Amino acid sequence: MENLHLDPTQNTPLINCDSKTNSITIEGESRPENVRAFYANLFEWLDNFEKLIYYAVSLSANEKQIELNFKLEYFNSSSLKVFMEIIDKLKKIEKGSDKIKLVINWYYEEDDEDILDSGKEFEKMTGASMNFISN
Amino acid sequence: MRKELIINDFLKEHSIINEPIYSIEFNELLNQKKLDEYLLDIKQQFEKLNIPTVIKKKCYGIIVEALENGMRHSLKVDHFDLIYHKLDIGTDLIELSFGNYIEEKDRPILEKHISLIEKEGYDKIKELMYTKASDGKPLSERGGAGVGIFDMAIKSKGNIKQKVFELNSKFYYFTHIKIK
Repeated sequence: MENLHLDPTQNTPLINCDSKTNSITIEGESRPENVRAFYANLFEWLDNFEKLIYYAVSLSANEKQIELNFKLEYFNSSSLKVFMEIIDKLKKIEKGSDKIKLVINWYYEEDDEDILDSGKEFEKMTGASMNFISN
Repeated sequence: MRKELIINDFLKEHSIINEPIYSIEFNELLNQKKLDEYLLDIKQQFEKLNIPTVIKKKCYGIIVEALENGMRHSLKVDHFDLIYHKLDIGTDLIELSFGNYIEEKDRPILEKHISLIEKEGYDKIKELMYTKASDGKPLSERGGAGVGIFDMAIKSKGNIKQKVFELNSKFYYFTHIKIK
């Protein structure tokens, strides 16, 4: 399975999805002109990743960890909705096998109270446990 | 009545910065390229003026939401499709103003949201925004999540005044925000 890498632009974040390390990173500023179209590749990658990780855990007794990293400077409210969907999708994948564990890391600038606050709201709304890491 | 007179009256009533250290004002047709250029300028201006991170990020977020909303929801009729914006940076306060004509069909929901923001506290608005964002419904045809107005209210911590005026047989939506 191919990894997905999108370089950042002024209004879109860096996207890095790695099926070898089972990690997904969204970093920078997220306010694409068309949010749905921009994140379509990521959702397509997640669909393929879902099949791959279930196959991988079926062959091994070991637990697999999926790491989702948010390193956001700013995101608009349309991106917020998409991020909720990404978390929900990964939570469903985690629920599908007791050998899959989802880890969500939410990075924030020390004095950026809005980004930290948003992360806490994501945790509350999605029910996913998140690590809050100050840069 | 002329739109400029109504905006001036609204600003006179709510604005308290007399001598801004930086000010920019425009009323023009916006697109993504123009928005990106403006946001880049603003970022550089905030850096130059040493605006604290927490303040500059709040202002940046509000400007993005308000202007994106303007681009999505402004009336797409010649001469009524311009988006107004004013940014005044004072010594201990920043004021942000936005305005655009809206479609008549958008007026009831907009006024409902304005009324909710006026009545409800910070925590309730936050709850409303995240509940709506996680409702599983797709983004609107215009690409919005329908929560930008709540995001602006949250970031401004309630220091937001909004009004829908009837103007030239159309409806004009104006917002004024103070960030301390």
